[in-house]
Formats: sequence, C-alpha cells, structure tokens
Amino acid sequence: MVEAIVKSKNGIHARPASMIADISSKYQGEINLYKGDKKYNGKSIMSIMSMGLQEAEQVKIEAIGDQSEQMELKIKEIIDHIID
Amino acid sequence: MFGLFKKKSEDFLPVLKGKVVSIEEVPDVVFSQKMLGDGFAIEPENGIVVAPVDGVIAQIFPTNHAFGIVTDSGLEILVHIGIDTVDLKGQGFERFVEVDQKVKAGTPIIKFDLAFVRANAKSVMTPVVVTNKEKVKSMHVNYGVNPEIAATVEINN
Repeated sequence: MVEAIVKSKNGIHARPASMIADISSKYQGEINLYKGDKKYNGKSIMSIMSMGLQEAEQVKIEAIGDQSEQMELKIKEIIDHIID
Repeated sequence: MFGLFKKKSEDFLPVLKGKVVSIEEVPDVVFSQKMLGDGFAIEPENGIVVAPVDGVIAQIFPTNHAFGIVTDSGLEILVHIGIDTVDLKGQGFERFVEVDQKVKAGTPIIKFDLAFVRANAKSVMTPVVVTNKEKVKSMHVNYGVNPEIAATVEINN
C-alpha cells in the first residue's frame, strides 16, 4: 500500500482515470484504490471516476499479486504528477 | 436467478438533439483512439443532455461536464459534454439529478449553454462511450441526424 496526492487541478477526470485503468488492467493481480475507507476498483474507469478525486486529495493504492510494489508506484506516479 | 432476465442488448438514445458521428471524429485522442472505450459522438443542436439508457447515475463531475451511468445489464457508460470542458470549471453547466439516482432513458441529466461552450471550449462534440470494454460483444451505431436510437450494444454475459 502506498499513498498519492492528486496533483491535477481538474482532479481525476476522464483522461487520468483512463490512464490509471489502462495500466492497472495489464496487471494480473488485483488493484484497489482507497479514498478514506472506501475501496474502488483500479481496473475500472467508471469506478475510478466515481471516486470524484479533487486536487490535493489523498488516495491509497494497493496492488495484490506479483511485483505489487512496482505496480503501486507506477500508479502513484500518475496521480502524483499528471497536471491535466 | 435474476440473471435470466438480464438484457442481452441495450439501445442507446442519442443523449442530445443533433448528428450522430463516429467516435473517431472526436478531436481528443482519449476518445478517438477509444482509450475510454467504444461508442459514438453527437454534434449537438441543443443543450439538454438526457440519459442514453435506464440506469443508475454512478458519477457526475463537480463541474457538471460529464456523467457516468450504469445499467442493470452491467454496462458502464460515460457521457462527456464537449472536449476540454473540464477547464470551464462548471460555468455554463447545470445538473438535474444527483449521484446514485435511478433514471430512465430520456431523463434530462444536465443542461448546458451550447453557445457559451461552443465559444469557450475546444469542441462541443459529445462522446458517449462504454468504459467497460469487456462487456461489449458488438456495437452498431446509427449515424446521421436525430436517429431514434443512436446505437445498439450486444452484451457479453
């Protein structure tokens, strides 16, 4: 489990959500995102968008499977850095 | 048991008055290259956006420029009003419903100021896409001006 902070001033809207789901879908294990205690499916564009993440909000990222830490960091990278 | 009554296909209303065009014509690669999923787009003539199908509103962006709707049959559909409209910060958009509300196809979801969005965003072209690709067995789109049904999706169960 790693934590990320939403960088984008527009929050996690359609484009960043599709980037996260695209990377997550290539992972053989499970990807979960957490906003507070609520769990969302990192492979589903709609699930990610339904988080309604806004700028500066905190997200927890959990990969379950092989090389889970690298996967968590890849997703953190998107959330921490994408500015669009 | 309820699975027996699940629909095998869904008809999509065009969501707006106007012309149904190919998703590949949308001036944003996230849509035209189907990164968000397959679908169609509308060149709008008015600014009343309705639900394409019966379903539950999964998300409406705080800026009211896009919403997600999920059908009983499991399709997850994104309706995105215009291109780069997230940058308008909600100006010119107004919602009629809230998240988790159950709606019928044709229910007005969002109203937007077509002239304002046309003048201030990259495009008013409005894509409608199924974001869970694995559920789509096939999609047939009826291109042209104001078709009764914009698209029919056969569902993978």
